[in-house]
Amino acid sequence: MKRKWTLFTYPVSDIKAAEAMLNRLAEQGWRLEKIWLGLLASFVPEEESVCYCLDWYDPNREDGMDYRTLLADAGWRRVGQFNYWNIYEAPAGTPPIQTDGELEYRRFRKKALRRMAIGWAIPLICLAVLVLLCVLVSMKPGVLGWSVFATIFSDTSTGAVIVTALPLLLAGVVLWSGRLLLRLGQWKRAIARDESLPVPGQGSALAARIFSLVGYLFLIPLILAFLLDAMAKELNMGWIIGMAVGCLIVLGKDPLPESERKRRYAKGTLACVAVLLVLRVLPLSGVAGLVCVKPPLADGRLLPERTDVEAVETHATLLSARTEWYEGGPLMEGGFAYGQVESEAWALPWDWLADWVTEQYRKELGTANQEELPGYENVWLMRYGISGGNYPEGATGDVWLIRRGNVVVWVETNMGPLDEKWLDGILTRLEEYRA
Amino acid sequence: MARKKLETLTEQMFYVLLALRQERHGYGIMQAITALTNGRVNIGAGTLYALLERFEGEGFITFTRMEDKRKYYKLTPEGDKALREEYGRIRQQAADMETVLREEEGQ
Repeated sequence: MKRKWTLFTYPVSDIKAAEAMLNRLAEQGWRLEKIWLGLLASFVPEEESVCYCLDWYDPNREDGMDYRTLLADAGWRRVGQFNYWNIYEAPAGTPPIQTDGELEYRRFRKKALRRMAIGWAIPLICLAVLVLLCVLVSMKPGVLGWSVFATIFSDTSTGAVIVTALPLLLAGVVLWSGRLLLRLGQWKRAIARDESLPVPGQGSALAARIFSLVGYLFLIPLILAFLLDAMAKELNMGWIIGMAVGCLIVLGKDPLPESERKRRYAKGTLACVAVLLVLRVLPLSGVAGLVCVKPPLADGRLLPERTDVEAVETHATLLSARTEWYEGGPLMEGGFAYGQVESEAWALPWDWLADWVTEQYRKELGTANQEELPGYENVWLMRYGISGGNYPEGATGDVWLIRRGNVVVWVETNMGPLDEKWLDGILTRLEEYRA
Repeated sequence: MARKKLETLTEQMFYVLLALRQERHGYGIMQAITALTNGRVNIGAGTLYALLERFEGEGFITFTRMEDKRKYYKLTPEGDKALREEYGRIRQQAADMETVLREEEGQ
């Protein structure tokens, strides 16, 4: 069968543009077949003339059966649902569903604006939390550890993708909001003049559709990141179970016709949660490891000749990776470890982030230790004396900061001084890692 | 932007109240208005639904029964009063127009 396809990524404020497009194609003999994933609309040839109306819709406040019966009596048949809209079709010449601008605007406020405000609040809250984190991190002497910010990139792919795309997301929110405010102003002026709500120009509507499409495409890396986090066991089980319980509660309620959409969304969400649960339970972290950044220096101990105990924790995402060590030893009677080594290594995606992490570590070295180690570029050492406890007289500890490319390593030990042979070994391992 | 609390009625509002001088359901109201005005006034189903909700809230109409998923309504005494006041206003407007036209013809 012959089909016509068109992009259907209209922003919510372009309801009149979408309606006008459907009616233009209807006049040319094309009937809406289906909306595909909220992206594309397919049309098939139709000999009988039809017309379309888009009506505001809220799945949390479904219209009563009497409303739908009235529309059906008037000739309007629902043929699709997209985002905030129900799409209705009727024989050509049927009076439109809304014939009063002010009442149509009130319906928009009741059905859509409240949901939009809630949807707006979520990114605003996320932004506020991010700004608060930045402020707390930048406060002296440091209310919140700076590493909290860096771990956003290294601990979950989802967090890394969202923060990386944040400037684009914010730009998108500003454009979307600006277009909505523009449209609201136009509608109010039209209502004051007792005119019908204006239809945006085709060029403007096309530009809006293309920008919206870019926003939809962002879902691809986001979904991939989510799946990777599930496979790498980074997703919180409590969150997954909570989502599943919520969906089951919705589905367990009486299956009212008005709740049909909500139940369908709950089923879809439950299916996604089931996928995440399976991925989280199955041993797929190796698969995730194939596409994520390899954790630096996770392949061996830092002090193999001195330590007996090792605990390594690694995190890896699409953009970054982090390794945390604890090594202890040698073991004394009763299992007590004489000394310890604590270390963190970061593989960061960008120079500026590696610069910033290095700078934070350098602050911890103190002002007396800001010079690079002679003969070594981007290597810093703080050596300190240890007294008291079981330590012999003259005992020293080391804090090393090493940077190679965008890999930053911090090593802290109280097991005596580390020599150049040890440093050269670490540098060799870092070069092998970066190769 | 909002009108004052139904002190004046739009044309659509007027005809909805007029149609409800008899008990009717929503589509019956639409059909009655189309027949009465020979198709000059067409009220959308969504607009009608919103008006019925509003009139019921204002006490101008009352819900009488539900049959086959259709709600039936009827005009209340308050609604009848509002309708007659609007009718009086329209008549006065027509009379004022007549006066002006006669004066112009007389000149």
